[in-house]
Amino acid sequence: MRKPIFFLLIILTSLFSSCAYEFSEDFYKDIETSTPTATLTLNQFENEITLRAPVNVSYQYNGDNKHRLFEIIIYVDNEQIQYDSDESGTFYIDIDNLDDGEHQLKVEYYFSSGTGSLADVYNLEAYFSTQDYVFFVDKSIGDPPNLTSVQINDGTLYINWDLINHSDFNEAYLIIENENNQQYNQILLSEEDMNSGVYNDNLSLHTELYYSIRIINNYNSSISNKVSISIPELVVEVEILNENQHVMRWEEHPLYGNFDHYKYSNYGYNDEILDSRGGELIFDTDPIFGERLFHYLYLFRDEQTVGSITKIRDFGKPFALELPKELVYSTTRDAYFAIETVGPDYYGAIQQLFLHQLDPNNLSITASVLISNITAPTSVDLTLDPISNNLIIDTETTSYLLDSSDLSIINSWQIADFNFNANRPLPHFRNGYMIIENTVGAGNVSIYNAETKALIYSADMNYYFKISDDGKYFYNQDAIYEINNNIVNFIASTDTGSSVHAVEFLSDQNKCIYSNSNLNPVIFDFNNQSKTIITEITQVNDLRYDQSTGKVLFSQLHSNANGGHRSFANIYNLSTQSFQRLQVYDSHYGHYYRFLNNTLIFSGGLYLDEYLNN
Amino acid sequence: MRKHSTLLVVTILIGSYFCHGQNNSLYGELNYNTFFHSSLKSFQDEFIVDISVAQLVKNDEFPSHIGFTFGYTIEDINTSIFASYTSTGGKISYSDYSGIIRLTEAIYGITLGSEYLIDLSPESTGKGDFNLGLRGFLTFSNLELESYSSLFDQIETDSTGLTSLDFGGGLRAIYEYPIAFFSLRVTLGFDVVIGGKYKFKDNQDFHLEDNSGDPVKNGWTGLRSGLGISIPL
Repeated sequence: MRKPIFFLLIILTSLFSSCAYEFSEDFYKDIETSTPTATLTLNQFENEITLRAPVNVSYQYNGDNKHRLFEIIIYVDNEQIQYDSDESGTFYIDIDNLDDGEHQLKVEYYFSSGTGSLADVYNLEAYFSTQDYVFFVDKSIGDPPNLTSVQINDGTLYINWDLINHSDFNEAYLIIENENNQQYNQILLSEEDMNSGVYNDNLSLHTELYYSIRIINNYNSSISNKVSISIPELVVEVEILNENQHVMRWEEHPLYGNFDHYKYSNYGYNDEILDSRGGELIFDTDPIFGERLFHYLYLFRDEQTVGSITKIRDFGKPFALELPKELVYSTTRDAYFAIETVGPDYYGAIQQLFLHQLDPNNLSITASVLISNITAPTSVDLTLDPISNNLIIDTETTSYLLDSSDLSIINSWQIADFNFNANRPLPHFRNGYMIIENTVGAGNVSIYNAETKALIYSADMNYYFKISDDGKYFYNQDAIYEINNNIVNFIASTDTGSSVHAVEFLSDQNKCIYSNSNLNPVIFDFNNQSKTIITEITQVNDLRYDQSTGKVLFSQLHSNANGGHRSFANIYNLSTQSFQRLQVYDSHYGHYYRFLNNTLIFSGGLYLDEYLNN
Repeated sequence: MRKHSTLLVVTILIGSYFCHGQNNSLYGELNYNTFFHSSLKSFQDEFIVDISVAQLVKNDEFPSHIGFTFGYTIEDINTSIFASYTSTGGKISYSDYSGIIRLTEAIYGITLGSEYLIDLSPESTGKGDFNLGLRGFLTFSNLELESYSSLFDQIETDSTGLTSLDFGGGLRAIYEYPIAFFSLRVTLGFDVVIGGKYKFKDNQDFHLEDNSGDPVKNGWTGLRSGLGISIPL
């Protein structure tokens, strides 16, 4: 009985022991692999592109939502230049160290398989892709454009050039140089500018302008030919309107389009806006002939000063001579004559004495002749003989008679030949007589027959003596005398009560005018012994008769007569007995004024042939 | 497993030897059991969520499974003592051409208990015996938590063992029909089992918790059916 039971138990035990739980099979996912769909694109870069400068290239990876990017490696000529793992970014192609020519760009990138397998999930499955490009490096610079011209149109500058048919440059500059060939500006030209072939320079205001175009790339540059233009100087003139007003006139500025307007501050004006196209400005200040006017015109653009023009202007016109010793005018010759000493003026210096003939229209020298060498300091004088139209030059040693038609010396007389004692004699040859002053102290004067050397008159002076240009009359000691056939006759007393220091003989009218510094001028008619007092003027320093116009110049130098220490030139028309007056400049340096042939001449080198010639 | 079942058989044989000659019987059953195991199921579901690298699939979810029981019936006191074994398991896995991820939870329980028999057919001698069994028991459960992954030639495995002590009670109908020197035995019942905490074998101070911090417990509760033989001694 026991054996079957045990046997059965053993069967049951082995049966039961197989009751342990058995697990099911693993789940298996069947995955089909497909062609990867990831892409990588480069921006600002394409195959066979030509690079002229280093460039930043951006890239964009697109994993199609299943290919995760692992890494990107970029090579130039098989040399790694960048490693990255971002899906977008940039890399820099530096061509500085690359030679001109062909180069390779290689982009390698690794990305997940995208299968969704466990290996994919754990980034253990990747695809590798590579993209190859060719690019060219070109560091050369092309030819610059050929500049053809620069012109002013509508008050502004236009620079023209022939178009160029390449773009082998990064930037183009218009180079602007001034009159000193110094570059003072360069303007970056746009691509549009370069393609238009013309540029409007609406800024420059220089008097000389040189233009060229420089084209540059990162490695080279080249510069074009130059074109230039001279800007005409702005014309500014001044004119005397009347004794109390003058006017400045300016013409249109050649480059009026390059600025807005001028501003002017001087002579009573403050920030006066002036038109760039021209105009006139009247000054309510006394014009002073012989004094310089300083006009400063400030050029404004957008309310900023962009330039200035200084105009130094004189009333009247300049002439060539610098402080001639004397000037005369011959109606017969229609010419001015002047004497001038040239050379150093220290004591004992040898100077050259020249006689010039001047053009009546502009006082330019038409003829010159060297008269003699003289020793400074010395007195020289020039007189026109109104009868013969010969010229007389008196020096301290010699008097010359010259033919005004050819400036030849007709005759000369040595002072030493006359029996006259003076350290510095002041001789006057007139009409065959030699009149010699001795100015020491109150002075004395002797008159000789120039041919015979015979003394015909001798008298003391009272600081002033005057002989007429024709040698017929003289003033001495408050009296007028006549020289007639070697005989001196008293004509009349000036009877002024005080010493006369200015007398002018009107040779063609048998009259003289005299004055002193305190009294009015007096016209004395020899024929009827009448004296006409000119009451309109007083304190005359000097008076000069212009036979060509019949007018008398009364100079009031540094005079208190008209208020302040001012100087005036008064032109008195003897026939109409009318005055014209003009303030003049008195430098106190030996300058003088002459009125000859309707022209007021300032010995400082100016003449005024308008305003006073009415 | 095999070691445990051998031990059980030896114990029962020794027990039967001491009871010899008292009209008692020895029986053995092959069982088919159903379980709830809801805690373990949800614990496994959490793994699916937690292991996100691949879409793991549930292969096994603690299904009904067979087991066996040995018992010894002492007629004098209408009581039998018994020992039974049952097992089931959970599994989630994923595999493709490149590798495998697998997580298994194999559990088995060894139950020791006694059953009080109420004879529902005292007059049916020779025509089969029909009893109602009321029983109480303790179940010693074992959980082997194993993970396995292979990716190309790289393999990683991990294994953790846990145990729990469960107790429960049940009611069942037992029918025995004498055939020769033994009787054919058919049972059908229902056990209610209260699961204990799964403690780590390595460290009994710690127990298994789900993501919510709740203890993971067995759910052995379920139908019990059996087919076996009974040998009167």
